[in-house]
Amino acid sequence: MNKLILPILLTSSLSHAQKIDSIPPQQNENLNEVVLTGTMKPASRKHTSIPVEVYTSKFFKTNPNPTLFESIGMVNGIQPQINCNVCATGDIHVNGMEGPYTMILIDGMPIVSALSTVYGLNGIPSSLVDRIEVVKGPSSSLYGTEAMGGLINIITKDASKVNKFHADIYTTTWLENNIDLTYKFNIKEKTSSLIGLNYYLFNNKQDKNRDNFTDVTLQERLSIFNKWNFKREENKIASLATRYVYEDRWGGEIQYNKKIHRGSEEVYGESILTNRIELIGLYQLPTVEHIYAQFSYNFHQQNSFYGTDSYQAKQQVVFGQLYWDKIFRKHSLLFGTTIRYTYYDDNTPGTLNQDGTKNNPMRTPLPGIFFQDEITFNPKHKLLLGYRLDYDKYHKDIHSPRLAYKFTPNKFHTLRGSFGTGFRVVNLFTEDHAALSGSREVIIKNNLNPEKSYNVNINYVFNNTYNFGNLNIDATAFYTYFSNKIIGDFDSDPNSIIYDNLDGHAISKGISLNTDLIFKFPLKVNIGISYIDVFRKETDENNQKIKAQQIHSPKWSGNFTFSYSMPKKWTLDLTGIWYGKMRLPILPNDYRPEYSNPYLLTNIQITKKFPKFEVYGGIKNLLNFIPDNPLMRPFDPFNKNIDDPINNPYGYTFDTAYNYAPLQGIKGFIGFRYSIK
Amino acid sequence: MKTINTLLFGLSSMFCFSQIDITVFNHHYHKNKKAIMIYFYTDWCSICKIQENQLERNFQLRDKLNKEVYFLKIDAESCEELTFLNHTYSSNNTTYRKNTHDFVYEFIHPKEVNFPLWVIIDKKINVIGIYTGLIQSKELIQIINKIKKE
Repeated sequence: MNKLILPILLTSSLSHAQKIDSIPPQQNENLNEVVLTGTMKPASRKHTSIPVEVYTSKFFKTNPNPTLFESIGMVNGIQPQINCNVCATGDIHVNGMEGPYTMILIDGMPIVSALSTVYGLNGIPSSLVDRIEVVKGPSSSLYGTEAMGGLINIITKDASKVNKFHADIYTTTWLENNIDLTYKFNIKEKTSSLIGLNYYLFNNKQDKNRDNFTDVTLQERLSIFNKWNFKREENKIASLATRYVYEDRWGGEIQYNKKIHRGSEEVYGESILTNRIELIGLYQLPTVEHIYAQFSYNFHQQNSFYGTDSYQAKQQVVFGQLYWDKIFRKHSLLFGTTIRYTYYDDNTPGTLNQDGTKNNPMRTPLPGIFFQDEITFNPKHKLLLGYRLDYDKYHKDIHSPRLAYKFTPNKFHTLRGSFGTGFRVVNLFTEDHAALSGSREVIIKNNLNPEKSYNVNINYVFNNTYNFGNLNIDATAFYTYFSNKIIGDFDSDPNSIIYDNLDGHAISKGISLNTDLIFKFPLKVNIGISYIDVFRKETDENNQKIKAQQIHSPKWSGNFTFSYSMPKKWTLDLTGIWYGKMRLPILPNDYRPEYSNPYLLTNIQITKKFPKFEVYGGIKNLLNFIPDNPLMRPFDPFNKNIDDPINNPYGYTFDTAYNYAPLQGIKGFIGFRYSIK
Repeated sequence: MKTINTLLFGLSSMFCFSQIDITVFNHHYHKNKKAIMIYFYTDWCSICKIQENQLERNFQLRDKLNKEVYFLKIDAESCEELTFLNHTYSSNNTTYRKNTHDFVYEFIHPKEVNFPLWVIIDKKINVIGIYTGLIQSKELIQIINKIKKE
């Protein structure tokens, strides 16, 4: 057939659709009408039986943030939580469960785990992301250890689908500067390579709440990303990516100088230097069958001082996977085998040998096999069966079954029911280590069971098109039971750290509701509400069963996005996140309230597109919400004067964990994007 | 052939407006040459649903799509191999891994892909127009009228 695309004489009549071929760009600009296209798929779900939500980079552009960690909060039911008001370490809560229960994958591979979750999340620039896939609830049947409470899979950009050059430069009134540059080149027809550079600098000490501590952690970060995509026969896939991240961050007393005070007792500061290397490869075998080989490696090194406590840690994870993706009659089959090897070492007694003289890093090999079958009985009924077997040296064999059903009576309604399990193997990495000294024997009890989770969820999707546009309602009810938390016991015996099963369990249950409205005129609305109840049941010292509400986990939360495209290529975005009361970590007899007040963070952005570039700007935290009491006793960070019965009758100590909202009030931002096709 | 046609239309409830199956089209085309309008959609594209809703509601447009052109509605992320006239485009898609079908890239560069995507091809199989985005019914009628005149 004729591949030549000839111009058509119809442009004058076309006002809504955008003509791509043959029309010079300047002529295209005369069409001031707004084009409605479906590239943005906020809260779209994959058509599989397991509910997977997909969010594209366009969704996150409605409220631009330099890192994915900040952007992810725009997803209903996901909450980025800062755990330290000095160093700003954070974790991502899915359905109210803490970060260690959330598995974060890059291109389907587990390269953000344990140690690297502490500061590594900030090192993922938004510019790297093509889209993210979210599974709320465990999914160890496919992904193995760590996929206990939720899963976030970050899909990086495809080098063959990006512009030759793209620059995105962004700054705020707090002088948070972010530069993203991507350059793409092709070698012959078949190889394309993308080089991405992200530089973030916040070097502007601010103490607006006058506690003599930096309000926002100072950060300097460099991430260099290089991805190769190879074009092969019959569209077979081959890609190779590598990334290097360097980060220097510190927070502390305003007069802190990293060069002089690092680790000293004069001025308090927390300084963390991170070096990280990642390598990711995907190769589809040149066979008729769809067989994929995946490989990843990462090296993560953290050099840190928290006041006088030094914490030096190193982690390496090697991951390899081979799987066969087969459609056979009514069956969509997956067969796979995988190996994951983790090396972890730090300067604490946790990784010393028994007599405490020799270093004994933790080495965890974890092989596994998995199988999945999605049976399409007919377009209305689908059944998914999954099973995975992993083998760990402490826990022996670990089984992860999966069952899901999808019923689509007609194009308006979809109903899904799913049962899934998750597990996590024992992990020596814990932040408590940093405070330990002296030699301690690490005892891992022989009958140690892995941490496990069991989840049931029911999901209902309604989609209909009306005169005004398209309405999509997505409601999920879930119940997850977490058993057997493994915690290192430092107190029973001063000469050892005992890892043992904990008698107790946690429950996360709730309902989330998402509504997407796409109008015939260029307005898109996305509103989400979640009700999540997370609590832990434990036996306390007096053998009494107690129920404790999960900290940093509000029962009510929600988010909204309004995007309106105007003529002449103007776009207006109004976004917001709100959280209800949440329980906070407090000290005995604390004067600070145990529950925070509800709050709303709302942002407005306006974007203007020009033929080759676009300018965007707006205001974040429009209502200027700032949390109270971020630090306890900021004037005595080394706890030198805590034994003063007159000035400190309750024996308070320096505490940085009372956080429920960012410490930044209202701020403006402006940015500029430029591309060459 | 007519029975196959009606059978196909009867089978699927999704086929509520006058599109023609691509294999049926391949058979018919050489006997009866008409302009071709290919409409690409994906299952996650809400604007596509609005577009389809508009097509369904406009009887005049449905009639024109049915009689005056070949109207092909194609899933842009199909897992199946597609044959268009004498050329076959393979699919690397499976249930778990979906990308834009190779047939779409016959008309448009990967960077430009947006949905809904309309491809307008004249009787001599020249691609005469490619549009992304929602097209209003009255404009679709105008397009059909103009390609008929040529």
